[in-house]
Amino acid sequence: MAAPMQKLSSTLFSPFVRYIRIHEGDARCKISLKNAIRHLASDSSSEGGKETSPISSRKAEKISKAMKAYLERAQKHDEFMKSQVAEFEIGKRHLANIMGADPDHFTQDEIDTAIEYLLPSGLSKQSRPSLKHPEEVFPTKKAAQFDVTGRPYHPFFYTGRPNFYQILHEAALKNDNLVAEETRLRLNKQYTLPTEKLQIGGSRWLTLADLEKVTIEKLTPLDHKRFVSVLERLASHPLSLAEKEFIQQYRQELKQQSMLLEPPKLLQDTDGRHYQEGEGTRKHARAFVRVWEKGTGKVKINDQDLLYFSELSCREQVMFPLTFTEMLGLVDIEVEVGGPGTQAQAGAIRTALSKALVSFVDQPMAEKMRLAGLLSRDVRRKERKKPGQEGARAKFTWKKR
Amino acid sequence: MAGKAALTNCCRIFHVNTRNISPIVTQVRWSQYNPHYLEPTIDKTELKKPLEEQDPRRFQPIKAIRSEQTVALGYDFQREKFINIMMKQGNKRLSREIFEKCLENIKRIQLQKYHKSEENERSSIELNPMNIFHQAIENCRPLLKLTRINKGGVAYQVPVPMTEKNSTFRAMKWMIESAKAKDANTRMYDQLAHELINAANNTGKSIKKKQELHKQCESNKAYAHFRW
Repeated sequence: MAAPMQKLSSTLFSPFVRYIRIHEGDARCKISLKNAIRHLASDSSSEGGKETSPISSRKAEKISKAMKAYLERAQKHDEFMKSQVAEFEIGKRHLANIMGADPDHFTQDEIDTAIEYLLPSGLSKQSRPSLKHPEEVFPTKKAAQFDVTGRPYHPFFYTGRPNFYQILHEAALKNDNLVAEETRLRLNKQYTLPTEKLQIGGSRWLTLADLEKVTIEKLTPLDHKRFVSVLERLASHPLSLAEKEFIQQYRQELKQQSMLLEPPKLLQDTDGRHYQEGEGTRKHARAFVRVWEKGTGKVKINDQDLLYFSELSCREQVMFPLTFTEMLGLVDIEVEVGGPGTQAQAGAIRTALSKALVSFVDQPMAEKMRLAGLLSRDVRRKERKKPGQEGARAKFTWKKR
Repeated sequence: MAGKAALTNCCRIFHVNTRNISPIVTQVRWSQYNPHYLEPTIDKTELKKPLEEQDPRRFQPIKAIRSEQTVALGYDFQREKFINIMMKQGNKRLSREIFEKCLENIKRIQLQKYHKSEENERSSIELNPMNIFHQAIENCRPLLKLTRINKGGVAYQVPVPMTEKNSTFRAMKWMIESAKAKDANTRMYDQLAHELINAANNTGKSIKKKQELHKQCESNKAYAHFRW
C-alpha cells in the first residue's frame, strides 16, 4: 500500500509544485498551496483507498457553464414533453369518448380514422389535422455530449456533427485497411480476384431523412452525397465482403418490383364473356379502357373508331401496348377518354390499356411491359412560367435602356 | 497516440471531402421523376435477355415510355432528332408530316431510278428511304469546326475537332437549311428528298457546306496550336 500511495501523492503534487515555481510570491498561490496540502493530508488520512477523489471531487463541485446550460435545457425539454404527453393522453381519451370507443384501448389507427371522419380535409397529407404521440412529432434530442467540466466525449465534437463524421471516418479507415490488405497480398503474390463479391443490388443507401434519424443530426443534401460517395467507394472495393456488416448498416432493403404488381383477376359480363378494366392518366387527360377477350380487334374510342385521332403518332401510341404484347386482333377495346390534348389523351389510353392487358398476358410478358415503362404513369408536366421571365426558361430580350 | 491517429484520420476525411466537393454541381434541368426511377428499356433484343439476380431494374421503378418511343416499326433516335430540329413554333405535327412525305418522295424517286436502270445495275440502288437518310447524315458530318479564340488581343479562327453529337446536329441543320433555300413554288418535302438523295451520293449543297468548312479549317491550320 505504501509504495503506490507515495507515487500517487507525488503525481498529485506535481501540478501544484509547478504552479508555485511559476508564481512565487503571489498571495493567491500560497493559499492554493495551503489548500492543496490540506486536501492531500486529509485525503491520505481519512479516505485512504480512494486515491483519485480529491481533485475530481473538487472539479465536480465546479460545473461548467456548458453543462449548466445543458441541464437547464434538458429539464425544460423534459417538462415540455411531459406536458405534451399529458395533453395527448387527454385528447386521445376525449376523442375515444366522442367516437363511443373504449378510451383505455384506443389505438393510433383508430385515432387516424376518427380524425379523418370528424375533420375531413382535402389538403395535402402533411397539412391535414393529426394527433400523434409527442415522441413522433418532436425530434429526439441528443443526451449531453460533454462531461461536467464541459470536456466533450467525442473526438469529432467540434465538427458540429460528430456522428455523421464518425461514419465517414470509419468508412474511410476501413477502405484504407482493405487497400493495405490488397497491396500486402499483391506484394506476397497471393492476390487473386475474390470469386465471391459483396452483392448490394437489392438495397439502396439510406436516404437523407433516414441518415438524419440515424445520426440525430441536421444534414444537407451535399453531406448525403459525400456519405454515398465514401461508402460507395468502400463497397466497390474487391475485398469489401469483409466489411459486409458495416456496409449493410447503411443500406435499405428494396422490394422486388415485379412482386408489387399482381394482375387483377378477369371480370365476367352477363353473357359470360371475360373482360378487364383499366384506368390511366397523362397530364390532365383521363382514360377508362375495357378490354374483352376473344375479340376481332375492334377499337371504339368515345363511340368512334381509331380515326378519333387524326394524327398518326397518336394512333400508333394507342395501339402500341397491343403490338408490344402481340395481342393485336385478339381482343376488343372500348375506351372512354376526356381531358385536353390529343397526345395526352393517347398517352392516357396507352397506360389504361396496358394496365388492363396485364390480366391477359403471362408473368414474363407483364415483367417486360414493366421494364419497357408501359405500366408507369408519365408524371411529366408543363413547367410553370417564372416571374421576370418570358416563360419557364426563356428570358426577356435584353435591352440596354 | 490514439489522439494523433484520430487527428491524421480526421484530416484524411476532409481531404476525401474536398476531392468529392468539386464535381458536385447542382443541375439546372432537373427531372420530374424521383432520382430512384430508371430509364425504360426500349430495345426488343435487350428485353429478351433474362435479368441478372442483382440487376437494379428488378428493384427500382421504371420511368414511363415517352410518346415518341411508342412507334410500331421501332424507335429511331436520329429520325426524332431531325423532326425536332426541323420543327417551328412547336408544330411537331407539320414537321413530322414533312418528314414522312419526304421519305415517300425518296422511295418514289429511287423506284423510278430502279425501273429505268438495267438489270445488272439494280442491285446497287438503295430503295430503303431510312437507309438513305442515315447515309446522308453520315456523309454530311463535318470532322472539324472553327472556334474563335482570343490571344494577345487578336481573335483567331482555330480549327477544333467536333464531337459526334455536335457534328450530327450540324449535318442535320445544313440539310434543313439547304432544303429551305428554294423558290416559293416547290414544296419543302420535295426539296428535302432531293437534298437527302444528293447527300447520300456525296453531292449537293450540304456536302458543299461541309467541304467549305473543311477547306477553311485547312487554311487556318497554322492556328491549331492556339487551342491549348
